[in-house]
Amino acid sequence: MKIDRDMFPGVIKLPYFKILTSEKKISRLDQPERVTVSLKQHIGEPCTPLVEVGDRVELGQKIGEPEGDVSAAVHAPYSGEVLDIKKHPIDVGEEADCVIIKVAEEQPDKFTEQVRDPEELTAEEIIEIVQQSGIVGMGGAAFPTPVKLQPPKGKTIETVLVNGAECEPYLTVDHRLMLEKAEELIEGTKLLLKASGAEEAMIYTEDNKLDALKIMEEANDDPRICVDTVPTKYPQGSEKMLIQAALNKQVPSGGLPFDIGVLVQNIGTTIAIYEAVVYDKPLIERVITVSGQNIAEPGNHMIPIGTPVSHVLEQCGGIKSDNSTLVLNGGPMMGVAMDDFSIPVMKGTIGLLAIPASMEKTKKMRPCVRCNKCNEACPVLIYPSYLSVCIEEGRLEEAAEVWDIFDCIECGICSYVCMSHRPIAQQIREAKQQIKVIREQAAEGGNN
Amino acid sequence: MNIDRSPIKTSPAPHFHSGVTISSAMKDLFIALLPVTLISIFMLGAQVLLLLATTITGALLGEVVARKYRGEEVTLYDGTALISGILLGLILPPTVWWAMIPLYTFGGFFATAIVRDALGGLGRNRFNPALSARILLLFGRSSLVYLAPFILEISEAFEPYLHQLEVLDLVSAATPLYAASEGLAIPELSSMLFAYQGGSPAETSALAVLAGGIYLIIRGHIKPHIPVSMISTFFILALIFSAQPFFHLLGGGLLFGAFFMATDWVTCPLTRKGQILFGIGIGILLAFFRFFVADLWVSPGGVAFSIVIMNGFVPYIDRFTARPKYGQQRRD
Repeated sequence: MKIDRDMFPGVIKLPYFKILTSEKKISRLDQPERVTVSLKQHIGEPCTPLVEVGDRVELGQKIGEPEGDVSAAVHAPYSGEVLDIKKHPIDVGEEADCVIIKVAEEQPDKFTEQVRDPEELTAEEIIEIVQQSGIVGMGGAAFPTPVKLQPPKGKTIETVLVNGAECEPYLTVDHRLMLEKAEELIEGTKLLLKASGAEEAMIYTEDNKLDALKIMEEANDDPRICVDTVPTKYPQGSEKMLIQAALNKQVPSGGLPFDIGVLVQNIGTTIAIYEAVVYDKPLIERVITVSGQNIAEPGNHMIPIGTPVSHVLEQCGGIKSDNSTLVLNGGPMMGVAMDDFSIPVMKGTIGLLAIPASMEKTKKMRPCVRCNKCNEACPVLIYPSYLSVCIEEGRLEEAAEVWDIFDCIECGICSYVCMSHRPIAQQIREAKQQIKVIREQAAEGGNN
Repeated sequence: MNIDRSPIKTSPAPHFHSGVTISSAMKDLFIALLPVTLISIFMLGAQVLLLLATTITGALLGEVVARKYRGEEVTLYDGTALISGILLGLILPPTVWWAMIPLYTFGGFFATAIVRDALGGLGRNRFNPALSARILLLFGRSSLVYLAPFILEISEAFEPYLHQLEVLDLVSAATPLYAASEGLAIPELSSMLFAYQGGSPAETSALAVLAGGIYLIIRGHIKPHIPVSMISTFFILALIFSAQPFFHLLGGGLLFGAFFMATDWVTCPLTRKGQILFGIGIGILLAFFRFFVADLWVSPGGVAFSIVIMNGFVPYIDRFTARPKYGQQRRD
């Protein structure tokens, strides 16, 4: 298959800093005293709790029942006792009902024995297991996986893309998983093929992770699966960009990958599906990268869902700088800076970074000088410079109608290159919210 | 817990920045202008320095006055006014009489205060400031009678004294284009390429201009689309309409205009297709001025006129050449 390597123009070479953790094997940290398991780990409806305060819970026991079509079950990441069920911050500016579990000192050893043979399962059975295991996209968005595996009527999935691009700086979760769990990844990909009914699958990584490519090629024993690289550039790991680089196709504006017969799954998700099917292991833990120049001991760690960020940071030696630090939930391009470390690790948490605030090179915002750097870098080929000026002047309708604000994938590359230090990505995020509110109000007004 | 040692900051994503700022870009532009400036000083003498000093002073002054008047922040540190001043200085006739100093200073002032800040502000001006000022000065002192008579009065008041001073060393030869139009000997192409003693400072060395342009392309500040389309369009027309196409390629402000003036971010199209159209338009206009308009007052300003005229079309060019966004058309 020919890969059109210049389909999106971004040629921005970001500083990656992946070397901080790319050689560090995935390890486990000491268990925390208590975990805060949110009943809303995912995009969609929150779960209803299945336990009450004072209940004993078993490792892997389902504690939240999914509600509605788009939702995913939540399981106990440790055995222990339910201390409380209450609202707790789960992200910057976001709260949800959380089950607080006091972690028992003795933990059972579970999910290591094979309980099912993947060969004997039908597509429906696999999807049912994925549903029961509470699996969501582990690349950050946390979209419930069963929904993606079952496209609406009339749409079929022809190609499965397993996304190992991992284009955000610092993060090495997928890189380590590809190195350490290549066989599980290949088996998981076979399950995705079966569950989705697709005929071919591709596992792509960026060409700065050739060691992972080699190991996956060795592990690959299925002619339907192809393992290859795409060029290293930001934001190659975005679903739309990967589809373009890998298949030379574009997802129609406003559409989803299944509109062109493609299913994109993250590396971690694919392995989680394998473990759910074979070991009956629900999604109760995930690998995250703890990194950054200001973290004492960077590394990749298998962390149970609900572990407080403060515990993770402490276990990694804490923050070592005296200068001002940004603690990020996610990568430096799209991650959120936080100051409340009681926030728990979620199914969609990909990394915790402590980087020097000087990386932002903050300066006063200047007028747009039309230098064109953002427009040249924009992966979805809209015009961030015009959007920025429009939003600044309050012309929100124009931003939506003329300059395609809703096509923006918020990758942040426009702000990164802006020589006038305009916070273009942030302007766009805020304007999208405002436009939605205005449109909802207009719709309500129309109904009255 | 030693988390508390470090002050924790929060801010919206992204948390990285390329480090390229307006000032650093202007520094690159300054470096790109150095070769031709140095060669012109070497060829034409210290008068180039005096010329640059006047236009730069005017440009800086223009920003200060206009911004103060409009109640905006003065940002001389970003280097944009400085660059406007240098660009203007490099395209003026280098023979500076003392009496012309107020005039050239006014040129620099006009570029930043009027063309840039009053007609839009930084990033919003429709026309190239340096070229607009060049066109104003093309009409020479007569234009000042209407625009700023006080400047004439100042220079006239000084003139009796200044006449007693040595006139600055006037080494400048006739511009190549002027020589050609008068039927005088045309300079060797090789000297126009490396170092020639005629015309404005920007015309002294085609290679130095090219080197600066290539530097800007390598540094990612300009794309080759405008210079390439502009120069090739003009060259093709020169092949048709002129007996000396190479002479026209190197003579006059074509190369400097192509790399440093037409590529001005603020006044050129953003789209690649638009940039090509823009370059072609300038090439055609320039050929028209060079080959069909004999008036000497237009010919030296041919490049300036062509670019400024095309500046006026930029918003329309951008609108009609907008690229299809991702997912707008299906490609399979």
